[in-house]
Amino acid sequence: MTNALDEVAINDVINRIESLAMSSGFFDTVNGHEPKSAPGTDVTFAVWVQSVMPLDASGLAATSCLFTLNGRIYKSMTSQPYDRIDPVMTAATSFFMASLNASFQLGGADNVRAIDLLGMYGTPLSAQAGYVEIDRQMLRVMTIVIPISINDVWTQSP
Amino acid sequence: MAKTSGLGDNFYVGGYDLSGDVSSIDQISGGPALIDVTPVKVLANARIGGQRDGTMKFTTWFEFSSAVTNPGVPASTTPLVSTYNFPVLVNIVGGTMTNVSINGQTVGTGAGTYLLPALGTITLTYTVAPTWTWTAVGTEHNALAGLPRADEGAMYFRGTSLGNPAACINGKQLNYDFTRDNKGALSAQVEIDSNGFGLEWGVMITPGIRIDTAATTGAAFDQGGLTTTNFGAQAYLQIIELQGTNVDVSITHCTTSGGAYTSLIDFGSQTAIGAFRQSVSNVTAVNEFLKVVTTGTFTYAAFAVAFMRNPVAGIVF
Repeated sequence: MTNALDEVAINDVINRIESLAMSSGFFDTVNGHEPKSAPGTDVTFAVWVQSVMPLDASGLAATSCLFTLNGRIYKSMTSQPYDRIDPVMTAATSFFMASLNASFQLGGADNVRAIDLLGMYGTPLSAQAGYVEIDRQMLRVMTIVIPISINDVWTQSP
Repeated sequence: MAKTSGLGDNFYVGGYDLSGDVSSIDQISGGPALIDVTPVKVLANARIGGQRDGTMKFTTWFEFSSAVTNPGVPASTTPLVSTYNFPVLVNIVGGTMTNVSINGQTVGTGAGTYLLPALGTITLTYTVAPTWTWTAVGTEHNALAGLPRADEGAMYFRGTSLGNPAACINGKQLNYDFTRDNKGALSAQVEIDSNGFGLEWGVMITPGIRIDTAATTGAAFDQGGLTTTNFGAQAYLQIIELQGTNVDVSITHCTTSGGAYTSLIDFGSQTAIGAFRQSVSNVTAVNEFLKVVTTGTFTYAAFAVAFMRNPVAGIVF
């Protein structure tokens, strides 16, 4: 039995996503988990695991997987000036997506085949704007779906 | 035997294990062409078997192994992480060693050849440092991009259990047709049409790929209560990795499991990976028990063998 998606590999992938977010320079705080309390007035980024599913783009004797992370950018809805909230959020999203495009194999780590930029295995790298309430504070958010295909995670044998 | 899926299947081409790259087997077909010999006096077609044929078609994802350079031997007990995103063979020579571990698991205690998975971690424990040589394990693009004019051999293994069905072909690779779709997926379709022999179904007499690190006599394989037949046999071999000078793979047979085995089919001394076919005449006696035997000078030989025992007289492939 082999399992290439162990804790070390998962941590490594998440750390690389966090590094890309930090290096964008847009975020005051970067977390590897969903925030438990409301972020401040700065721009905050968090990333967490959304799903793990087998990929039909597997070989005959090994199952590859689609490892999907959710990234979310937070900014207080009451931060001033209001007119800048969406431009800042969208620019941060775009810069982060640009860095994922510029490193779509995450540096060749952990058997990563590719971040699914264009949706070859379903949902592409994409972002959805919305609102989230934490600590009774309303936050403007951008939720970014980061689908990552990983080669030969599980070896098949009867 | 219950109905089974095709999960966990293996596929080898020209001495390369493509089981992790091939996404689908699109066609395995073969059999004799029909020659119509219908006379005027009958009310239905009369046909006889003509030339044998065979085809394998498959779809593969793109994978390519580049050349590798040897990294320095790390200090004792210091892990070294491969930077290659494909498997490599690590041939360790000399030194005074007590342990070799790969991805945290002990795989040996000293010099020898070890398979290091893509981006894997290898740790050596020693008092005197050994030397090592890293060799890339070829993948799909290495196997198929050459488009040789010479024959290729391909083998499909239904699972990796000893005695499971296997389909084999010796033929020409017609194409290597690539598709890069507009979403970025990269795949190729390949067809191999038989040459010289038709498609042959047999059984695997190695459990998928067998790895020998020295000359070895394999366990006896019982062909299932068939007594000796005198109709000959054919066999196919894929040598998938070879570290050393040569390996000679042969099939021996015997009427009893524990008896004295004699040579039935010998693939000869081979010095490189590749696909091979051998046969004995269709009047040769074939006994119930088989063993796959390796001899030669090597530290690591990975290979797979399929065997076709002719069940009736007069079969010619």
